Amino acid sequence: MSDSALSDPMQRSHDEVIRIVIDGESKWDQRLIRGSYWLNPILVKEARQALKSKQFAWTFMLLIVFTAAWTLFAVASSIPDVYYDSDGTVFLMGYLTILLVPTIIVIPQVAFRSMASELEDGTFETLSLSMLTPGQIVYGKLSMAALQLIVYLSILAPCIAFTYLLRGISLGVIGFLLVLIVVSCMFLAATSIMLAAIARTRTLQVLFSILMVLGQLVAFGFLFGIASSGMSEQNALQTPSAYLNMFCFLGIILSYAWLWLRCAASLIDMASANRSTPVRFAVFAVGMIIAVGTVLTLMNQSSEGGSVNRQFAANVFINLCWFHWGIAGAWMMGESGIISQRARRSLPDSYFGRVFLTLFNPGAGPAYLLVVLGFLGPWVGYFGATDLLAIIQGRYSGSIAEAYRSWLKVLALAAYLALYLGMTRLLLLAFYRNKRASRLLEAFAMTGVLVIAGVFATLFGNLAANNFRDMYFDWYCFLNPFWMLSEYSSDNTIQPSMQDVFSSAELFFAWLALIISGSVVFFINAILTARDVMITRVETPPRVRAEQSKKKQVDEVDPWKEP
Amino acid sequence: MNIHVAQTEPVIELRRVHRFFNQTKAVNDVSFDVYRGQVFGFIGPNGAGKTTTMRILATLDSPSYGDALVDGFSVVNDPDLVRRRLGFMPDGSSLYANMNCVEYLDFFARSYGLVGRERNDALRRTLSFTGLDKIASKSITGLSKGMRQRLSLGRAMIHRPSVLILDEPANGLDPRARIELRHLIRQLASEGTTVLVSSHILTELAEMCDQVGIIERGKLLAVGSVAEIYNSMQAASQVRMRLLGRVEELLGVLTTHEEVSSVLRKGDWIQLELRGDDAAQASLLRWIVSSGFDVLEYVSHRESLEDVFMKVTTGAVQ
Ligand SMILES: Nc1ncnc2c1ncn2[C@@H]1O[C@H](COP(=O)(O)OP(=O)(O)O)[C@@H](O)[C@H]1O
Ligand SMILES: [Mg+2]
Repeated sequence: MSDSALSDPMQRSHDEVIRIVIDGESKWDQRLIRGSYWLNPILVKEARQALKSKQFAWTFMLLIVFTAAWTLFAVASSIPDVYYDSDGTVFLMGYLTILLVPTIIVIPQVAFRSMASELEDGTFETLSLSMLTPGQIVYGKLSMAALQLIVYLSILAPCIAFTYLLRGISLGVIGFLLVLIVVSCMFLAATSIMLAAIARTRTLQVLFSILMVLGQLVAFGFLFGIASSGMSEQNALQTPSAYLNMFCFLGIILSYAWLWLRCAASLIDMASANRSTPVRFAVFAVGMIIAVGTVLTLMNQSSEGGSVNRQFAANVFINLCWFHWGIAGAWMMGESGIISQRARRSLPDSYFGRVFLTLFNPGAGPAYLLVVLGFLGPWVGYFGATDLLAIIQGRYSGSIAEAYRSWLKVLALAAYLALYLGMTRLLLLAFYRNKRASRLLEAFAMTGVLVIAGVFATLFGNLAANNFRDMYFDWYCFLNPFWMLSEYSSDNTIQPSMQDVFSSAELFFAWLALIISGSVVFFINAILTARDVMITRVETPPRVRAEQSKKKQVDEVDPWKEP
Repeated sequence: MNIHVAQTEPVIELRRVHRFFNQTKAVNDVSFDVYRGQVFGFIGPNGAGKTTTMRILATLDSPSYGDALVDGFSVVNDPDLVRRRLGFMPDGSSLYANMNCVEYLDFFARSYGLVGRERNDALRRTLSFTGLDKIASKSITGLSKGMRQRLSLGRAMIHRPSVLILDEPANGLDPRARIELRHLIRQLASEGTTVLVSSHILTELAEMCDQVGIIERGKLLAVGSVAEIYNSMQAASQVRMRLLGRVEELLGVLTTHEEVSSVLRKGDWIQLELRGDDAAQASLLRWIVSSGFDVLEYVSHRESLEDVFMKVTTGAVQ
């Protein structure tokens, strides 16, 4: 606190120093500061930190060094004919590999550390006391990842443009690979932000860091593989349907990134806030994106002249949708149905809202109904519409068995959701007397245990019934979803007629047992849900509403109006 | 320090706040009010529940039972409205690395939605108030403990909160920095900020607080101005007197006296602890002299603030 140490070396007046410190020294500094008012404060803060951090400086320098080294090496090794031969692919492959390291490995790790250190150093609490919303916090972290990505990409951009000039490589392929890297980087960063928000203990942090590194290595290998095959088979990427498929794939990846961020925002939100409804909407939206994407792909196939391959839809995309709802539902079964006064203010109140939006209310009960109906809805709608169209147009008879099979499969999958998630919910209700606390992890683990128990019970029971020599599918084997499904689709090569809907009597009885037990559990749960659904909205007190509208004024301040 | 402020509605209101961690009753039925512009001292030994209470008030934790209001808004139902009008400086606050002071404050100004002129004003005001203006562009990593506390205080007050909650702000500060901190807090209060400040040392807070609350094992033992608490505790006096003979005789009489809690003989000296106020003491002395005892020396000493604190609290921890 002594003044001697603080004397100003530039001999400026005190006010002048303060003005410079606050406004910036040059005109450009001042413009930069004023422009940054529009940005997420977290992005501004972390960009400033990055400029002073060793990690960023090292990554930046190493990237430049390796890029330069590769350029020199590749040019040197192909010197005599660099202008004649089409060596673009070799150059590009090297640049992409160099680019993959910071984007796939470094950026997600930095995002994880940034979020995790915030939570473990206690700085997060001061952050959450500010007026930043949890959404702004997680998107701030993600936008920092995006900023780094832009910096790293811009180092390599001239080099990549150079490979195009060398020919041998199409602009479409370059563009596609870059988009793929960008999407993967953002997805991994979003995933790491969510994992960091979950990992509040040291053990979990270490566990997640290890999982992250493994996942990143897999992603690295996967992208490397795509890049090399994309360059050797450039023609495969030229058809419109290849682009459509890639578009669907990237869309699904991005929608999961969005879902992860929504989850992360809820995880760091206040306990009394309504943390489920936004996540519930996101889970629903992603489920719909998968379903609608599939339907669009199928319709595209049929319009290109191919028959609509429902078997394909049933075996791939419905399963994807099923996993989506099943895994999301397993977590949701741990939501407590106790809704704080504050959260109750956000419940739907209109007639429309109470009819359609109640499924998005917090609590395992509404979540359960949403999972089963949300899975079933789009497929019933799609199959119903196409079948109805076929009946009207009088061309239904030929594919009648196929139509049945897809209906029965969807019903079976819905019954699995109803059965296993419903059992989880009933067991949690029985186990935990304190219903106030949410037990997401317990619910997820419980569902896993139940499914594994079902799998092993059928395997063991079946072996025991057959003197431990052999296994034959029997009706009770429906408890093992994977056996049941493989049994179900084992003979999809033959074009089935009506009596071939079930390949065996056992399969038929298994299906029947599954539907019956699923329905029973569903109705028990539906009755128990009635209580949760009765919870109604409470009005926001006028004084609170008046206060909340004040917030707008702060946002409306025009940052460009500078003294 | 008397309470001159008009006492209309309390700015901070704790209503039967409870917080249990399993079996630990960290906060057990605590209620008190703090009025505008007051400095309220929250005193208790380590583990008494000060931090837990303050975190509940700062909406970082929720009460197991009860509620707390800031400006009439509940920390349970309207934490976002409470947060706007409240600044919290946690115990041992952690700051960011790779930043300087002004960047740190700038980040929080923006986080409170302050941009443009509002941000510039907030930064200027905070830097000069906390005295950080001279080291504004110094890296946080190299700051002394006192400077870090100032920065932390600056962060807590950057959005001009009407309520400031400071958890053991004087911890680890040297005596000079403590005094400066005390001045800063009084200045904030005189500008109308309501301050809740905690410490495990009563004397540290005694002279700057309008009111104090003494907490131990989650229970609020006493609330009021320091003088009120001091008087209500009926502080005992330590009396020593030297007699010219008949020491044993007086000793015998005094042990039966009902206002005397302990008597001890040390040579010619009698040492006793006397409950009751000055009048009780005077009448005892009058009685001794009138009974014919020759008192050569008489020394009396009233219990200090620290002694009262020791007496109110039992020293037990959970
Ligand atoms: N998160 C927690 N989990 C369990 N016990 C806690 C937690 N926080 C505080 N406690 C307990 O509550 C009591 C009060 O702690 P605290 O409020 O930090 O005391 P103080 O700040 O007065 O020193 C202590 O016994 C402490 O062990
Ligand atoms: Mg404490």
